Amino acid sequence: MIEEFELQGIPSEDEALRPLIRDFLDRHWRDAPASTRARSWSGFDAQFSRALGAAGFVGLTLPEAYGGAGRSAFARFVVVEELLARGAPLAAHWIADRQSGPMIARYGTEAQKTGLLPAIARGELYFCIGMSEPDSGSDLASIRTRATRDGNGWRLSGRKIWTTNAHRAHRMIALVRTTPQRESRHAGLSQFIVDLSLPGVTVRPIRDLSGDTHFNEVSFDDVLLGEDALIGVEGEGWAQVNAELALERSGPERVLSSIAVFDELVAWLRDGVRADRHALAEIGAIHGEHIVLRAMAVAVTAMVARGGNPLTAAAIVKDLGTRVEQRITEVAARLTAADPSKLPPAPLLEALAYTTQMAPTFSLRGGTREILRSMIARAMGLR
Amino acid sequence: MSDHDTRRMLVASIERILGEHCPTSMVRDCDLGGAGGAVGTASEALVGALEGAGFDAAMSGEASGGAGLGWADVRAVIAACGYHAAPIALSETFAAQALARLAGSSLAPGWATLAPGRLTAEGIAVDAAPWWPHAGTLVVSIGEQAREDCATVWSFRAPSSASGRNVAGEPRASWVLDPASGVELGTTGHGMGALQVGAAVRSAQLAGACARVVRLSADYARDRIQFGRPIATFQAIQQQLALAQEWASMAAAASALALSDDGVALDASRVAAAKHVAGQAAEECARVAHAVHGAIGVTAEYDLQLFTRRLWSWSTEFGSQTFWAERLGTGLIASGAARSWDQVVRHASV
Repeated sequence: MIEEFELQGIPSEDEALRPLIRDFLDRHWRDAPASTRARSWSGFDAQFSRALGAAGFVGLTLPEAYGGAGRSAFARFVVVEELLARGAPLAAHWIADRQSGPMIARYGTEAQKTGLLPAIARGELYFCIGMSEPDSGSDLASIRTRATRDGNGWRLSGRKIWTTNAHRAHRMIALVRTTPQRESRHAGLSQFIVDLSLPGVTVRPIRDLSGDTHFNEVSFDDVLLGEDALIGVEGEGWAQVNAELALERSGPERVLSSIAVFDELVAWLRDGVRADRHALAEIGAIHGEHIVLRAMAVAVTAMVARGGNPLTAAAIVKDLGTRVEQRITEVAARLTAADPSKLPPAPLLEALAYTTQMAPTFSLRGGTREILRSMIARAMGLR
Repeated sequence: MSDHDTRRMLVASIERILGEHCPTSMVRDCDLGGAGGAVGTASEALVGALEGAGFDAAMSGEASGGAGLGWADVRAVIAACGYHAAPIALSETFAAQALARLAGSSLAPGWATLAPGRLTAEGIAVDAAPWWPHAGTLVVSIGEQAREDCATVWSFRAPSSASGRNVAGEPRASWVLDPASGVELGTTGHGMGALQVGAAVRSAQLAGACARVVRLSADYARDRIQFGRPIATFQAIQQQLALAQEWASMAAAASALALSDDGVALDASRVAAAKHVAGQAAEECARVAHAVHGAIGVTAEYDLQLFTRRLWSWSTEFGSQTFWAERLGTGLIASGAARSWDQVVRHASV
């Protein structure tokens, strides 16, 4: 059955990072408007990422020998939750810091580690995720992008889609098929570090419903990759990509995507209109659920720090967390329009407009709601 | 013996006792007043086994001869009572003993119950208070409902009968108590009273009952064959049960957070969050469980109703999810925090 979440405190040496990151934010991220803060980890700011890296807050979990701080998952949790709570623009270094860097640290060759990790830790080298394809979303094993041997290197052909920030990233870790599909559909997959500046790589931005272009389609037309592009073991791509997804699913960001809207809403209810009982109950419910979810997220981090692989626990927290994230936009929409004679402040409405439109993605990215629930059902012995 | 070992021992002990002496047939008899006893009369075997193992003395202060245990020690015991639908005043006894200690006093070992009270011209009024035949003491707090900073805690001999029932069939009654017949135990700080302490223990009971109905539903779905296969193999069933499991996990985490102190201290925001979440979880788990079970789930003969009727009852006792959500909202606004997450970190950190 399902393991209970064992609540744990954050070790004091990691908690000690909180005043330091708060101090950094006081100096480098003051007075950002609500609509900017609402973009949160979708907000791209290379200058901020480099400053954060220079201050030692990027690549915390990477080994010290390669420019990281060699810190635990708790240390990253503390720093990331403070950054997210203030809506800092994390997009540029986000994927490299959260998953690509740790993947290279775990599966990379010495050359890959020395060549890439220090720049990741400096907040200067940016990655995107190469998983989804036009015909392969939830069914990731069905991907068709392929790499075939060419001398010492590889020829890469195919397409990836929904690639966040591919137009501004330097590298992609792509899941590709290196051996034609035979008995097991999970065998024959491999991962490659693709330099996006190589000839044959085309990045086409896709505009989203809010008007931003962070999504992209990336085409590979017989791209020649060096032999050092393969990461990990050829044919072990499925196990590797699942390890990468576990990193993607366990973190405080699965509860904090719409916190800018929530805080603007609370401020308006406190300082603007008088909050009636209905409004108090709505924001109170969200706040109470935040308290519990944060404790659960720390418990998942503790499992990771112990060397575990808490797939089910992370799926539970992600589904519960993203539902609260989405409910915030629904509650805010209802409350801000509850009295047509009282117009809420423009910053709240702007942040809400953006977040409302992006809210569907909260339960799509990193594994859809239905896939997460299928994983939980499997752990319950139902499938 | 380490705290960890003590807690493991307590859980093993309660599981053994409830496993042996709290079958659902006995719970059913209790609810209906069968087996020769009044409604709410648990078997002598169960009461005796719990007393023999010292559970009615667990949270009584050491000064009174009790074990002086804390929330972290007994939380899993309370959840087990919910899981087994135990018709026993154990959760209320822990709560009453803790409330006495919060008021700077101590209750002697023994079964007790508790309720928030109101001072009226006629005396101290309590409404729909939990009552058990074996619980001789009634602890009442006055003041925290008026949101004062402290509450006065009183101890009374419990009335000899209760004419009401909650939806689960557990005895509940309203009384007006003569202050002259009670003993003033002391005052609490931080607005703590029977409402908070009762809400905290109910949240753990709810978490246990949620786990039980999810377990019953998963087992049923695996056994029930329709269209040539177990209904557990249908995605519609899997998705609903996964959702119910999420809520059950959240309720367990919430009650663990509220009942995390090694002593009897409670954090108002954690209690509110726990009772709110547990109430939500109860609603969702009961809904999914009855959907999965179909018609058999609403029969008296099948066990599911013993647990879902308790989910429905307990979620409305000591404040519903709406009551506690409102408290949380009021507290958040009053904190004046520019960033709500600063408050979340404060209250969620163990």
